[in-house]
Parts: sequence; C-alpha cells; structure tokens
Amino acid sequence: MEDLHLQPGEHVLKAVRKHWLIYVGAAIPFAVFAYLPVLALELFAKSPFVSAPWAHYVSLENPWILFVLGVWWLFVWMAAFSNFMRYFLDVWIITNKRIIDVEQIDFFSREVTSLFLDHIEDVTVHETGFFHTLFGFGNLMVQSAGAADRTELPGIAYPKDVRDLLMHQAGKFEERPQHVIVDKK
Amino acid sequence: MDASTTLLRFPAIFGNVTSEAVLSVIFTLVFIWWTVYTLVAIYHWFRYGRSSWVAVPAIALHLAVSGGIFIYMTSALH
Repeated sequence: MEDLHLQPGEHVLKAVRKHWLIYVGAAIPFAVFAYLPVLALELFAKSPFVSAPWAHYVSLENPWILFVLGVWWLFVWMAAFSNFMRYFLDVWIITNKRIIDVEQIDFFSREVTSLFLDHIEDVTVHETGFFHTLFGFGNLMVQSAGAADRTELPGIAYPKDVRDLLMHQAGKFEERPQHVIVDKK
Repeated sequence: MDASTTLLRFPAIFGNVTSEAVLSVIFTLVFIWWTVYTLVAIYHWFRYGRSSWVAVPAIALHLAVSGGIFIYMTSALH
C-alpha cells in the first residue's frame, strides 16, 4: 500500500472492486477488435475479388499480412490489459475510520479521495435489472454530511454486504460519547 | 525466387530500400513501444497493486501473450 498512508490505529477491513461481469462486458469490444482482421480476410476469401491478380497478397500466406496482424493483435492486447489494470486498481478500501476511493484513470493518473465514516449520513444500494439481480452487483452511493458530497461506486459485487459493513462501522462512531466543548472566555 | 520472397518484395517506389530493412525498423519501433508499456505496467502493478497476489500472474500473462504474438508475427519472416 505504497500510496496509502493509514492513520495510527487504522486498519483495512475490505477492498471493494467492480463485479467481474463488468470487466467481462468491457472486454468484449477488445475481442471483437481482435477478430475484425480475421473476419475481413474470411470475407475477402469469399468475395469476387478473390480472383483478382493481386488477391494472393491478401491472405495469411503473405508474411506482411501476418506481421501486420500480429502488430494489430499486440496493440489490442495492450489496450485490453490496460483495461484490466484500470479495473483492478480502481478500488474502494474500507478501513475502520474511512472509505478510500482510489480511481485509476490512466497510467500516471489516479485520484485518491477519503470519506470519513463519521461523516456518513446515508448509504443507498441500487440493484436494478436482470443481470444485476442474478449475479448480485449494483451501485452503492454514500451521502456524507455536506449536501453536495456524494460518493458513488457503480457495479460493485454484493453492494448490500458493503452497505451493512459501512453502516456497522459508522454506527460505532455514534455510540461513542460526544466531546463537550467548553467555551472558556 | 519462391513465393514468400515475391510477396515480401517492395514496389519500386521505395528504391533501394529492402523489405527486410523496413521490417526491422517497424519491428524495432513496435518492440520499443511494447517494452516501455510493459515497464510502466509492471511499475503500476507493483506500486499500486496493494500487495495483491494478482500482480505477478497478471504480468506473467501479459509477457506470455505478448511473447506468443511476437512469435506469431515473425514466424513467416526469415
């Protein structure tokens, strides 16, 4: 946890990420991109152009086509891997004192925000839709004391469990005796 | 002259530039780009991966898949 500096007495309770199905959904375009050139070659082989004198250049027997296809796949793979990295490094860390929202935007671009549990006023779970209900994922929204302060984590796994954990931890702060501030003038 | 040599031959517009030279330059550029990307990715996994067990398998998978693609793309080039 090189980028996270926990306070004395603070410890991590849970790390929450988006549901794996969210990642699978985001990975589908990369699979399509990877297949596109192969599909193009297959379509070309069935087209009337296949009898053209230059047609033999457009096949996997041409080392250049193989090379270009490899370069294409390499870049698609790097994009897909970056996507997985963003998915994995984008995380909510729940400690016994606060929620740390780590948003991995891109390479060398990340945003880390903290929301202290004693500021939590409301935690809302949204689970709407067939897949959300079937696989148990949804959106979690945390409303803090400021009217505009709202943190949202979309598509997390088991949001109700996370909500219960947050409410349980936030409740501990309410049970503690309040400090009395005496104004000495 | 076999079929693969014919397919690799460049049009006259490139003059004396051989296909091997062009391929070498493109391959070197792609490899440099991939190396920089891989180093940056490894840095991010180890620095921000929060000591997760996923980091090493993810990097190993990246290296394996990339290696496979490199072998495939150069398999027909001699």
